[in-house]
Amino acid sequence: MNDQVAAFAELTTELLVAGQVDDLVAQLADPDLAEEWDDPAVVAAVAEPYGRAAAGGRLLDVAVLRRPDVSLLVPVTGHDPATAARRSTGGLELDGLVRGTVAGTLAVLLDGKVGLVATGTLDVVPVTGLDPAAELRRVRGRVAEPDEQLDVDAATVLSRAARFLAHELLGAGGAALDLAVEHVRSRHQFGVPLGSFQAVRHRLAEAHVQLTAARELLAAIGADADPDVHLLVLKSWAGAAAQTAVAAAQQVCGGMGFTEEFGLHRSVRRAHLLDGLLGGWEEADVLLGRLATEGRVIPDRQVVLS
Amino acid sequence: MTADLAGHARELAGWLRDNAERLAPWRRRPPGSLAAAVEHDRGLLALLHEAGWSRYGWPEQAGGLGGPVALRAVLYDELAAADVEVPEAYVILETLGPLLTAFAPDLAATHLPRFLRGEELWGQGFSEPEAGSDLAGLRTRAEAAGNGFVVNGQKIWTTLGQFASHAAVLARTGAPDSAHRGLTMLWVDLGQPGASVRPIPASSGRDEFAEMFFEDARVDGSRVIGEVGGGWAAAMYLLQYERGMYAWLRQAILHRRLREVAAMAPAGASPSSLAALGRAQRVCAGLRARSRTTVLRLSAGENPGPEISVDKVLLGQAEQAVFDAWRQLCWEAMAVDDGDLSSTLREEWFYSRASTIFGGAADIQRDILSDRVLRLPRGAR
Ligand SMILES: Cc1cc2nc3c(=O)[nH]c(=O)nc-3n(C[C@H](O)[C@H](O)[C@H](O)COP(=O)(O)OP(=O)(O)OC[C@H]3O[C@@H](n4cnc5c(N)ncnc54)[C@H](O)[C@@H]3O)c2cc1C
Repeated sequence: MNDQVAAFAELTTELLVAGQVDDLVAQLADPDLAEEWDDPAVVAAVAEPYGRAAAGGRLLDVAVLRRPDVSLLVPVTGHDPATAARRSTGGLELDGLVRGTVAGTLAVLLDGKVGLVATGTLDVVPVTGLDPAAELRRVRGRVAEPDEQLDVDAATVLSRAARFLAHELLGAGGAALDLAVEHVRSRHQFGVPLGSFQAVRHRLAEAHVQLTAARELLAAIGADADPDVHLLVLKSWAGAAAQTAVAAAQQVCGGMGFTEEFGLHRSVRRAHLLDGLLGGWEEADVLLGRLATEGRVIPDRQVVLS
Repeated sequence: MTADLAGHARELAGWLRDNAERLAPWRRRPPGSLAAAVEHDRGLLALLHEAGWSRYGWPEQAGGLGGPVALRAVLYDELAAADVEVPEAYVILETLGPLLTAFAPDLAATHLPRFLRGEELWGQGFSEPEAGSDLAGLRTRAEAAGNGFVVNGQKIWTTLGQFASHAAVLARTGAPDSAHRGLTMLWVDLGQPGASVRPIPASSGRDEFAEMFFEDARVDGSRVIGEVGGGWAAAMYLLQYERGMYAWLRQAILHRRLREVAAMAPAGASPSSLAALGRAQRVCAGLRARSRTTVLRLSAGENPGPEISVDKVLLGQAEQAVFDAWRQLCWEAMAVDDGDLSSTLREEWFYSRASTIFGGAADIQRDILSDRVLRLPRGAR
């Protein structure tokens, strides 16, 4: 990790531990930092601890749009961003999600571009849902066709969002695995630690394998890969891995893991929420398979020996 | 990394293109017996040796052209990318070659060039009928005699053993209860009267492996690989390559198979079979990314340690995902077609079932990760 990346990691962890997400957002939204987000290592350094902490706030907006005054509208379900904004007579019908408080301007992915619309007339409802700590807002309403665009294309925004979410997922899965490892080392049944039972060990070892592979892929594939690779390979690997990890952790932590006090539920909720944002891994596998049969096999040569 | 791996890969890819016609016989494994396939591969081995490509990444003292180990990984990758079938022999080479160059440079100097030229094959004689996963319990004995050893015992599941001229045999030189401490790695000439080899028909329909019997087989003292009593260390060294470089070699082949399977998919394939194909791609991408890191570490002279079990687990999952995607998408070909391509893929489907068994079963890999990476308390074995 170079100094720059380490500084991002340190700042993020410090402020998250202190519960100061809004302060973190404010600091990271500094326009001078905008270009730093192009470095995948910086994204990892911020998003993983964020996923570990399962905190709320507007970090996704900041990392992806790089402007504090714009919120990203994400579809409620599926991989297709167009479903958050449908054309209807004389304007757009919006229905999507925003993470954290909604800024004055909304970024809407449309026709390969990122349109900017004012939030003023829209209906914004805080969501409790599966993961209250995520501080989602559901945003609905009609607006005129955007006459202003962000100077970045929709594909880039999608790729950035997928990468950020993937690292958050690794954070959520990693936190669950760590909690479970600690638990099975100390909890005894039948006179021995739970962690000495092979069924328990192998569940956790498998979670480690999956999380490691997802992390390797994120490190090996550059930020310039297209959104299909980002969404259907990188993010879905991380989603599948995080779900493997939280499921293993839930099983081996038994009744204790089911309590609110233990804290595992934060990772469980976050892993499932984030996997579904921009489309879950199960559906992604179908889409990836279909692309392959159309001759668009994800090229292995994106990962080269050098 | 000082070597220009990307440049090397480009040059090799260029050579493969320029020699496409010469390479045509090796694009697809010939149907029929394994013996025929092994014989057929010798031509490709000779060609790649003559052109020099298979010599990069092996030490000059062993007939190589030197350079980092990753140059070998480039060869496997480029062959598969150019739709040339990676010779089966390279699997053995990647297992025993590093062992010889590291622990027995004199043997490497004699035998490695022969292997690279396609003149010799070797066998890996570790497993025994009573010692599989619990390898340290092996019983093949090597008694000191004169300036060498006399070997008695049986080895089993030796891949390509029926074609091997020599085998690296892990034998007990210590007391019967000396476990992993009393083992020695020996280079045994299989042509001698005390050694016999019998192929074992496998579920795939091919004689994938063999059993080896030793009755007072002689091994000269100069043919100890490493130290007397140091057999376990030598075996552990080799496992980095058997798990790490082998996974890289296989991912190259699996990516080629993926391309082929995707092209074979029938119109209107069901969502569940598309998902199987998608998953296979995803898993192969993860394997490749992970394996790349491992190959670069091996190439830098690092030992990846117990973390290499991640590669081995991923490899098993990738192998099975690819061939199960084929099974799902092309069920008719898999079940009732007797054409050459379907027969070959069927054999490979069977072989993919073994990838979670050989080189240390997937369960053993998860135990290693539990013990040495997650540091969970050791359980009863
Ligand atoms: C195609 C093929 C090629 C091979 N080539 C070679 C070769 O060239 N040279 C060579 O020396 N050997 C070779 N082998 C042997 C291979 O290394 C062994 O098969 C392997 O180590 C497992 O040993 P075993 O078959 O005796 O299975 P066993 O040890 O009897 O185990 C059977 C199964 O039980 C489970 N198991 C075993 N131990 C544990 C445990 N502690 N915890 C949980 N589950 C466990 C695993 O699922 C394992 O697959 C080859 C095997 C195959 C299938």
